[in-house]
Amino acid sequence: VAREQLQTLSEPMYYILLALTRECCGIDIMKKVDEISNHRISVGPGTLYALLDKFVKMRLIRETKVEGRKRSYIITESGKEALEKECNRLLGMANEGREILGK
Amino acid sequence: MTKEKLVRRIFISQMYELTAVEEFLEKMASKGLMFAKATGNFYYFRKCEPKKVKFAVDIFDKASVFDTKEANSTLEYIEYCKEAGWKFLYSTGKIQFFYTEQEEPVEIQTDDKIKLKYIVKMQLLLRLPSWLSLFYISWLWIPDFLQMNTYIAIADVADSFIININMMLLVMLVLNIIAIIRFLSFTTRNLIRIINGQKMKYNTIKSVGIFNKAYFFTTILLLVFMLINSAQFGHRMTLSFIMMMAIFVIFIIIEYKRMQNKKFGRLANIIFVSLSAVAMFVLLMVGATSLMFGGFLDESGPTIEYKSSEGTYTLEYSSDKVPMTLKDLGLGIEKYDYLDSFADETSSIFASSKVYGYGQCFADESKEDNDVYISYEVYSTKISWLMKKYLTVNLDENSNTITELTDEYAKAWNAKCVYSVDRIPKPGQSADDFDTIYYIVYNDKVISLYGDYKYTVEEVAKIKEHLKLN
Repeated sequence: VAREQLQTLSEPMYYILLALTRECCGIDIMKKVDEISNHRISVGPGTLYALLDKFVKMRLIRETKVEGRKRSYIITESGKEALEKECNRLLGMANEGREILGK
Repeated sequence: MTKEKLVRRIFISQMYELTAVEEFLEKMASKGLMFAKATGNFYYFRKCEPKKVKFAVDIFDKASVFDTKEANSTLEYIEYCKEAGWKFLYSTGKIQFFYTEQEEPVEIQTDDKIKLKYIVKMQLLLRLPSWLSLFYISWLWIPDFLQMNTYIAIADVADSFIININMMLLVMLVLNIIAIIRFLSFTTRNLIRIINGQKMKYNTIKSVGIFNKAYFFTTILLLVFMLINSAQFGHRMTLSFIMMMAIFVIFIIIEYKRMQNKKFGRLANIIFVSLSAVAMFVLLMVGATSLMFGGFLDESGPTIEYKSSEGTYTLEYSSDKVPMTLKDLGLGIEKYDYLDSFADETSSIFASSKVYGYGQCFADESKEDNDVYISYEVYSTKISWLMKKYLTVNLDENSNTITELTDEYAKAWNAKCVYSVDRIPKPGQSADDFDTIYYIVYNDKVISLYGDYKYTVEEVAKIKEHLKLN
């Protein structure tokens, strides 16, 4: 059970979770986030480390393997749910904006 | 291998001023001094070519001061930072030092909310225990010291040791209150900025520098004041106190060095440090007790000695510390069982207080008037405000009947005025329970004489002679 429920995800959180839809080594997430967001979002290593820790505690992601000091993670079901929820929220916001502003 | 020479600089900062530390290290690097390591507020540098680099002084929450080498989680964290282009330099406790030659590197903490949380947590972890204990001790000592509304407080002003301690407390309190205000203002200001979606704003090296200089010079001034104050009055108490503080500091340094040399794990270090802290505490207590009972501190403390005319006590009474005894006044009794005397002399730059007592008594308590004694205090000060306070506290009209003497006897004192003070007995008490106290007020001193005697003019002349009041 998650200790606290996230209402919305911040941009870095969103992209870190997106990056972890495929198993990924913690260190490589920074690069991946940069790629996925087309260099728009950069997550600092300190922030990444803290967020990974937080996500594991909230069971949004889980550790898959440890090689030396390299840890890999992958998203969990509840992580996917949170991501899905956020994605829908953003899509909803975008659509509503589009409707009013016109195409 | 020769030990390389490092350049040492001091830079005092709080946990919410690490950006200023970064600025400081960048400035040093541009001057050709590359950061090597840090201990407390001391920073060590290696000579290098002047270069433009960026520093990151970062808090890693999972590290601990008790780690002698980087724990696994810290090493992992360092890997993360390396990946982002930051080169690891040094780590002390939770604080990690990185640098990079990149022009615009990704910051280590891109989330201000997390960063602020770590800063506040770290600052409280480091300072809250000392803040709380400082406030508690100050709350016990300082109100009396500032208000001067009790006899003890006024007597304390005449004691350079207590003045030293109070001055130290006062200065520490003021400095820490300033630090707390700065910390609170930093935290609230940045909380508001984060809520409004703005970037955090840090104290610049300039504002930190001004505070540091003030901090540094006040500490130096305080130490100089304390040393002059204790040297002038030669109080062993102050010297002992400074000695104990020095032992404490040496203890911390030794423990730190030991931790650096012997590579134990975190838990072992915690246990070692706690055990040695207990050992040091016991040692200090034993030391203090033996100093007290060994007579080293007795220089200005009370001396009580007994002598029995039956020969049970063989302690010789030395009267040289008491300037005036019953015998001097012709009030002494020939046959007595016990002799009792004390002298307590303290002085400071503000005032001096000398309290003496001398008594003779019979062992048989059923005898009426089984004792005869004299006790007096000479309180001298050139500060008229203090003198006024001394009289206000002692001549408290609510609990005393105060009579200003104007007769021949009073004139014999040749003083500004002479008061006789009788305690008003509370229900259940008898007026006989209390002695009359005479306050003889001069320009710069007050003599208070306890005793139920109305001194004759001849006796007054003798007292004046002994206490050098002429």
